[in-house]
Amino acid sequence: MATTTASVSISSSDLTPGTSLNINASTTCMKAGLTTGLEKIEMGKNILTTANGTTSLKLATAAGADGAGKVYLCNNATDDTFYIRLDLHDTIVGRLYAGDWLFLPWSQNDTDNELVIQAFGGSCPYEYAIFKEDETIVAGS
Amino acid sequence: MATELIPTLTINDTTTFSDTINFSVTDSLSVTTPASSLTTVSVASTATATIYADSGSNGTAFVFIKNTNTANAYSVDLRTINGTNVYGTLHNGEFAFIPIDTNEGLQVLGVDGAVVVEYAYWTKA
Repeated sequence: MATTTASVSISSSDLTPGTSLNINASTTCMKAGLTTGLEKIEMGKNILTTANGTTSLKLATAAGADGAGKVYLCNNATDDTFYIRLDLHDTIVGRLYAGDWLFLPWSQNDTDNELVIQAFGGSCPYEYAIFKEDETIVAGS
Repeated sequence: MATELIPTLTINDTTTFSDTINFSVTDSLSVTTPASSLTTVSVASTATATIYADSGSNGTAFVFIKNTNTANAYSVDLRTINGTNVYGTLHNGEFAFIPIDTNEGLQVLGVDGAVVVEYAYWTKA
């Protein structure tokens, strides 16, 4: 069985006076239903320029009902003012500034759940990995 | 007063493909208030709970959130408060680390049963 493990640690030595912060969590990336691992992956890196406008990171899909995709995205820009905005179709998820990354679940079964990225401020090299279920691509909207 | 937060993500897979997937990425974040240390909220099926309120202005808050449920196939949807658009679903034991847009907010929606969600957030300085 596919066994992709994602682990996160979040630490800080000065967030709370007198005590340090140490959060740790780990999970195996599973398909919806939690019995089978996600065995498909898309990984890559590219450079997103402001001239690119909105760019589809991942098209919406029609198949894979209740899909339980996972998305990793990192902005490798070095200028602190350059950021990548991630949208879920027409909804802003958030902004990744230089060096920032995200890891979030993605409902790939929704035909409105196209993942869209756009660079602001300047060109942003980025890398990504999408762990996913079977899919049928639909037309962008 | 800004403080430093260091999040690290590690992805590892030695079974799915002929090659091993193993990478790690870390970051150094300057964060400030509003912030919330680790806390939990129980969200019933079809009920919602606010994780980060829609602030009404653009900004970034870093959110760690985990579904602590281990029994049954209960889950929570992550969705914006503004528009209630669903990003995705956290199944048993799954977590996310997301730089959310403070102008959209974040809430969870219980699916199929009561789920205890653990979360913390910090606002980008």
